[in-house]
Amino acid sequence: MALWRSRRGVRSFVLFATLMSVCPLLWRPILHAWGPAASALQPSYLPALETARERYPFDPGPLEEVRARRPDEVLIGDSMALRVDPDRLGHLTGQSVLSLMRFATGSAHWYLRFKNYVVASGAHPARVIVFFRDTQLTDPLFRLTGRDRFSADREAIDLEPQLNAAVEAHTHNPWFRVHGWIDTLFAVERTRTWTDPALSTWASARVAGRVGRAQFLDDMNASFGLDHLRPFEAADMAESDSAETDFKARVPISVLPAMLELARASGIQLAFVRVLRRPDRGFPPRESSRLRQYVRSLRDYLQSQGALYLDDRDVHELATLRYDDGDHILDEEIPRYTDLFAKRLAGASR
Amino acid sequence: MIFHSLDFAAFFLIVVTVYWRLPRRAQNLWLVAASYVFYGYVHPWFVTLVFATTVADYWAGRGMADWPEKRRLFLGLSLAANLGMLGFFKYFNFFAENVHAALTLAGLDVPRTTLAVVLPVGVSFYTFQELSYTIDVYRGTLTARRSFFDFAAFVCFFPQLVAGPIERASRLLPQVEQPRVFSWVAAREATVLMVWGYFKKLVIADNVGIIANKVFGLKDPSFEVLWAGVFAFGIQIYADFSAYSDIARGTARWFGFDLMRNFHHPYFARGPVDFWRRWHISLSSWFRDYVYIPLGGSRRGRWFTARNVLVTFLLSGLWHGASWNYVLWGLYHGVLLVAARLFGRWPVTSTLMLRVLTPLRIVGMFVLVEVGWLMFRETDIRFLLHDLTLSPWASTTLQRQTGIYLLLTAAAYSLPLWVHGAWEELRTAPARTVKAPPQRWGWVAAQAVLCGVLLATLLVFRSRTSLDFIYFQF
Repeated sequence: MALWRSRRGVRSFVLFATLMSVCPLLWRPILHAWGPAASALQPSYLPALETARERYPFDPGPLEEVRARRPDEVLIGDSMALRVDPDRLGHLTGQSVLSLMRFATGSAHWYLRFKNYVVASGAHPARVIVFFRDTQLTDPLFRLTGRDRFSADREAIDLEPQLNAAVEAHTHNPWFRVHGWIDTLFAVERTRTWTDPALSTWASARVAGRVGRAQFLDDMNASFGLDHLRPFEAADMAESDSAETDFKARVPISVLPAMLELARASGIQLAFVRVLRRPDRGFPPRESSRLRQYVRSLRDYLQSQGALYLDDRDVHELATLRYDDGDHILDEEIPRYTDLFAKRLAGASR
Repeated sequence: MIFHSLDFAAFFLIVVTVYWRLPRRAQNLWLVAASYVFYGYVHPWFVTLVFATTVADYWAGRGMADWPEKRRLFLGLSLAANLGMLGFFKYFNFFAENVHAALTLAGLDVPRTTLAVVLPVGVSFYTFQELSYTIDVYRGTLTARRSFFDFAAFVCFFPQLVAGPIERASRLLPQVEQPRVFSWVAAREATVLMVWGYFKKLVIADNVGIIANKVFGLKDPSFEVLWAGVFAFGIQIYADFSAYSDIARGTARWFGFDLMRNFHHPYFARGPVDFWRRWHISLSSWFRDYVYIPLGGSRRGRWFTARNVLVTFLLSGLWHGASWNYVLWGLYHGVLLVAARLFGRWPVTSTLMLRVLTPLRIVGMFVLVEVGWLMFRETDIRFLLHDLTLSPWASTTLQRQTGIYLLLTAAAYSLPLWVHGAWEELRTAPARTVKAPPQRWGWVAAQAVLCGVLLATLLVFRSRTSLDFIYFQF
């Protein structure tokens, strides 16, 4: 066959391909010689997602706070939960309200916060309110991979079997397997956790010296905080695609059943609030029929499981709120939202 | 489908394996089918657009061949079909918003009309590629093709469909029509190009892109922070776009095609004219041949030349996007070129002096290009005006340190780009002869190790945030 006519060509290509593929293996001896000791590696609490690596320690701060304050109501979510002022809500409802919101998180983080902080505290608040957008509740991988991967370390304990099972249902496919093989073979993630801070350490030491480096990085990060950013209209979360809106298929492979089960066992009522995404000239944004169907199924499911469900789309007044960037409302609108929310919560509880 | 996805890896392996087992005619059909799958992977309706313009331009070409006396009519139909589609999807909202703003300014109260429609990716690229066919057929420099599938393969050839290089019909069509021969040497060179392209995209462009995005997201950046962000953006856009071109060229080579080189180390340009010989070569040469020269080129004196340059670059700016900042960017480069033509006669003839001054010219041109990138990246004119008034004396120590930190980080990520550029510049300097790479075992091994090191670095230093290719939006 013409393809194999040139033996020399084939041989040179095989040599080329082999040498090229072998080179990344060099990370192993490099890591062995100069990297962190193997004893620093811990088995992951999500073995379905990654191999052993150094992890950030569990942050007990919120757990201690829940224990100390013993709130009646707890707020959980990402920046969407910022639309409620917990002090104002507490004042309006006569309850003590504690916010455990954390930026750039997803349903996996909320499950961990609920389990490892709220339930583990033994404080037994009457209600935990979770703020979410569209299909986030049935997408456990949202913000659990990529640049936000390590943030869950702070709220996970040594073993997280329910979350791992949900993750495994998503990673049990050829793409994740290929990714896993490459990671294992070339020790990619292990090397990355070692090399990731190297450039930042080098550059910050050049600028601020070894001593002032850490302070400089803190100050610099603060100068890029939300209050220094331009108002952007684009949201940080894309519209849900059709695969994500298949509720029946998604719910068993999410953390939602585990969260509801845990709430039942602990005698805590869960309330889920679907926030209104950025309105379009005073009206809620358009939604696909698939998403509408998904939301109906989600509402029925949650209510059948004894949870409260509130949808901001149902309240026309909320579409008139002024928005800041993406799906965030302006700070000035927080009191108005909180007042409305307190009324709706009281109505829904009756 | 995007190049940096596992879906593409699987797609590529299947398509290339089947391709080389088919006879030539079937190869073209297979390429058309694969290209439509590639293009319609996320939005299948995009395929109807590329198919519709393919049919329109094929018939326009046939019409010109069969009824030469009506050539002008068929060319008009082709222009209307291609530019009409481009105008509708890309410029309608821009036009409508500006008309609305003008009428409001005149005191008229008219309802605002905009279209909520997704801009089909690559539409600016393939419409220009198709126009090169119909215009060349109209001019008589190219014969109209009979085979619809050969023509369709030329239009939708997937490696370069979405973001170029914008190939000329006279260059790519003969390659589509001739039998292709598989070569392991070409496959190896293709792999080198692809690895280098992926490295530039995932390690350089995506990492410095985060810096640029952060800086251009600030309400009130300081002078140092802003220009560190502009520097990062300059690196990002070059690494990102040239990465796409390299991956496209490498992918095409696996199929036996030779696509044109789209970039030639533009940041080593000695002046504006030199820059446009090195940056997005396929587009700048398209505008030269189909806009600048038909307008009269440099044939009618310096003022007509200046007018032609400005019109060409204004259109080139508008090609990039339906926004005034792109128009401004185009005009800025037009003005630089006119100034270079009017005042840029280099008085130094001594070789030694030229050698000494060359680095200064390179740095000077790089600074001018960076000013252009500020206009390109800053889509809000109010912010642009604010940026241009920033003073280096108004910054705090933290702002200065932040600027230096960002600059150092962007410079560190872009180091391989500069080293590669300098190496190729020295290798291909006019005094030296360009040699084809030797095919000895030692060379193959060196090439493999270099690619292996790039691959190893890519695995570990690739950005955790994957950004879209910038030129997808055009």
